[in-house]
Amino acid sequence: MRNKYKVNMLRANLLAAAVGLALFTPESTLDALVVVWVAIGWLFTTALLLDFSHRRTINIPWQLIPGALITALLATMPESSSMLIWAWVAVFMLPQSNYVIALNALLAAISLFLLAPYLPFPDQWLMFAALLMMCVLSVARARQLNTINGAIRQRAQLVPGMRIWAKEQLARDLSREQTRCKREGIHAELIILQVKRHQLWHTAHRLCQTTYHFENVYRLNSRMLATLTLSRSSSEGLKRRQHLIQTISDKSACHYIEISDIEITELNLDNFIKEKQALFPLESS
Amino acid sequence: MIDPHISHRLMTITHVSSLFLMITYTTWLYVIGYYSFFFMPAFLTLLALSALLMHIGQGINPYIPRLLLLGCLYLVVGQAAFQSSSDTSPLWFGLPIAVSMIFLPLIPALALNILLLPIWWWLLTQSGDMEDWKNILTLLLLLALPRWEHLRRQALLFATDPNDSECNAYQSDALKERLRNEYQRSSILGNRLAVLVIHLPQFDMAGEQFGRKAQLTLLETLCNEVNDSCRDHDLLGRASQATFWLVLPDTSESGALLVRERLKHSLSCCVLVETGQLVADIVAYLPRHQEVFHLFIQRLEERSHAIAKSLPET
Repeated sequence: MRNKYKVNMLRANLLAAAVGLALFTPESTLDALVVVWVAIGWLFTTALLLDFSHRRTINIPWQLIPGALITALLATMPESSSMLIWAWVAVFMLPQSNYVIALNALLAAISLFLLAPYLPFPDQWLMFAALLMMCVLSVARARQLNTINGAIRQRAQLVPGMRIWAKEQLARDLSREQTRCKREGIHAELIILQVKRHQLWHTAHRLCQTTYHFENVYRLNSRMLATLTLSRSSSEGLKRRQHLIQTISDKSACHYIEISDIEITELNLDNFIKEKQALFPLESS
Repeated sequence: MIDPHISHRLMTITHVSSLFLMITYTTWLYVIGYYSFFFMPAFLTLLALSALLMHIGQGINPYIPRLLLLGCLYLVVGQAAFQSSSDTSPLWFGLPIAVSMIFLPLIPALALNILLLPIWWWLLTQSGDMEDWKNILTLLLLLALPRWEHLRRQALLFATDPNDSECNAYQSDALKERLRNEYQRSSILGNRLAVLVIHLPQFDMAGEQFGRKAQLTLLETLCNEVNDSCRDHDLLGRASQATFWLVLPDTSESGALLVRERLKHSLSCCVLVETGQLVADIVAYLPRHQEVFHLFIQRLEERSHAIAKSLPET
């Protein structure tokens, strides 16, 4: 309940900010109008797409969008919206990767240059100094958050309440299951599915539904999912594998390997996923 | 961690450079002969200096120097807006808002700025340019966005992190989920399952007498000791404040009792500075034949409560 409330507050804030930007429209010229409406549209879409999971936070440099929008706003109406230069602080507060920070810094420098002709000389320097200081502080804070969160993200569920885990968890589970299966005499298989990018989460949900509760699903990258299936014997394993393939219809390729065949000591998950030779292809019947 | 603090060194640099900017501004006003303007910044320079000294000094709440610096900013911008509104670019009104969003946690920062909105309104009616009002509002809303995003991410991590925030064990919900998985696994694959309920009778006493740190040490010692003496796939989780469950897959009753004795022995060897020898009540617990999971967990919970309330049994 508390979580819902936080998402809703962010959503409300996004919508309010969109309305705030809409107040800029009356005095705008045509090109400024376009930029303002694009910005409003972006805020609206973000508010609509917002959800409570780790899905969308992975590897997309979306932090460049607000940066580009601020630059465009300042370029099209430098006088009336000059105060938005401080919104750069907000952009740098977002957790982002190094090259995105560099690109955003470039955009921020451009917007400073755009604004400079409208200010007297001392103001320019004062503004530059203040903005630089605040952006450094924001970046420091965002990075600190990132390092705290990075460690947790590796062991966290990707969607609350679903058995979908990060790739790092698979490496840990593999070695654990290998010893365990040897001891308990259980047949275990790692099944890797290649799916279309937009169907990844849908397929992951289907996988969760078709497998047992004690079998986990892992997201390897934006197009690959894996699951560890456990069965009493290899013949039962084969049956389950076939059942799984029939149920998951929207995959483009899949492979499997018995986990007793995996060399855990030499396991490099990235290479392992790339080298398909080690895996046996599965034919859908 | 909702509000990670900015590093001390970076804040020192910030304080020093703000002081430097303040001095430059004051000197500049003096040089160009704005004498009516001059006294407030001169006073605020002293205030910024005291903020710096407070920041360097030990044992002061880190928010006090930040608030002082923020106050300086509000005053200097307010004065510039009030006394020479035609010369001052409206751009500067945004500066203190942005700084407050960096220096303070989200809710106090929002509260402060909302409280100050009427003052901005009044200042703007004095200068007659009401256009800036909506800019201030929009800027405030935009600056609050990343902070909400931070809160959302923290809440998300809290909801999806299977570990307890205080010790190296599963948190209660994750523990029950994992126990359910193991239960299903044992019934489908035909293995046995045992659970040890571990209660720390010293936990409350340690909190009352020695405080939080003693409690954390107690938890840490227990988790380390249990994790060291268990197999990799045994699951340790914190069922309630002072009660842990250790899920032992593929373990018979005699095996569980063996683990219990081994744990009791190794835990009694741990001696802590404050609480002395570590005491733990451990009870082994097995699911009945063909028992439904929710009945099993209900019995387990009742048993945990009973152990926590009653005197230690051996």
